[in-house]
Amino acid sequence: MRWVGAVVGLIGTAWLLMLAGQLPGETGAGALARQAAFIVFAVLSLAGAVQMISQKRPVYAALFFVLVVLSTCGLLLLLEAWFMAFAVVIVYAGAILITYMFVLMLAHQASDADNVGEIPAYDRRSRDPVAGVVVAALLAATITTVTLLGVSELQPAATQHEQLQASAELLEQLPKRLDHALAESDFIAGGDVTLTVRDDTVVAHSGGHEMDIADDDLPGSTSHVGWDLVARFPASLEVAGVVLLMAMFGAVVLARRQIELGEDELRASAGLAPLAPDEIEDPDA
Amino acid sequence: MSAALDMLLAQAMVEADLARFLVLSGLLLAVGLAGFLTRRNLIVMFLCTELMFQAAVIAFVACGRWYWDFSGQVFVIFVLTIAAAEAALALALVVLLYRRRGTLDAETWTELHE
Repeated sequence: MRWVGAVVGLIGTAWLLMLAGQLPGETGAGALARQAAFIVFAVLSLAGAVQMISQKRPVYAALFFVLVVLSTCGLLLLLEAWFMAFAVVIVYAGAILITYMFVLMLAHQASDADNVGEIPAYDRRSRDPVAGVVVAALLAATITTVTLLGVSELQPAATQHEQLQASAELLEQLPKRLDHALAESDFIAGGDVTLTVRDDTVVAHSGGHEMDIADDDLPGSTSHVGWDLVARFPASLEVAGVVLLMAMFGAVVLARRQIELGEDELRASAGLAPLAPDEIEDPDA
Repeated sequence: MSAALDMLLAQAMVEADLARFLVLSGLLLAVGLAGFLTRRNLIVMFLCTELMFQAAVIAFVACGRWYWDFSGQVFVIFVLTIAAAEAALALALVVLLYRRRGTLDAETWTELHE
């Protein structure tokens, strides 16, 4: 029965993700739908997290973590982080969780070979539950209090004008994209094109001519992320690559099972007949 | 009067928008911490750290959206990188430990704490 619940939950979450990607504008029905979607995803992720840490079977814990990841991605979609949402699904739910599943199956199968179905004691009894929950509750209370008290002292959120300004600045650095945006009309780009923001639209100026740039031609959040990644943090990107490479080497070296094979086993694995005693050469001969 | 009130209300709505994401992120982090402290299965303990990573991801993206600054999302890419590296290395270590003792119980590896 639990399997059915997990599968239905995953399918429902996937459907909600698709819905969240299509929510209409910022006001009216769109804003209401956003509120509703936030509540649904928040409840799903919290319930999944609580289920995850309280499941006796590690495999179920991993499945509930998939639910948490999917609902987190719904929240990222609500925050207009399209690329990150799907990157998290692919990397977390797709790759990392599969690794966990492999190791779980590896360990589970061997430990329960004689008594299948019995959950080991270390998955049934927790360690210092009261202390752990008290510490976690303190952390939750602290974070919640600080957030609710402090958020009104933050700098104000970026306005629409500032957002468009950032998009225009990025578009100026992407000549091909700018050409594409300008080529859709008969705007003749003579010489340098400068972009300014006027009344919630980006306007291109060149040699006395002006043209509004459509919202669809402005770089979206994915372009911004890509630009920031390579233009602002190139060294970090390289270091991340090195870290991944080293982790791969480390995992291979650590997990490799070292078996010392004798000469006969080596010959057998190569398809050769075992060494006959009279074939052994006497080194002194 | 009404316009000022509207602006205040709008400001409060926008703040609530960031605050609810941050509160949710904090709650997820706390649940992950509770799991890490109370579970004894090594693999589930590492799963709980991944849960805490998810909480951090929500906070990064929510703050990035607030300031329209995409370094928050760029940092999420690095979080993914570290999570992948951690999963590979930690699980390799868990496999090694499991081969030694035949159990995933973290309590069997406590002789180092004296």
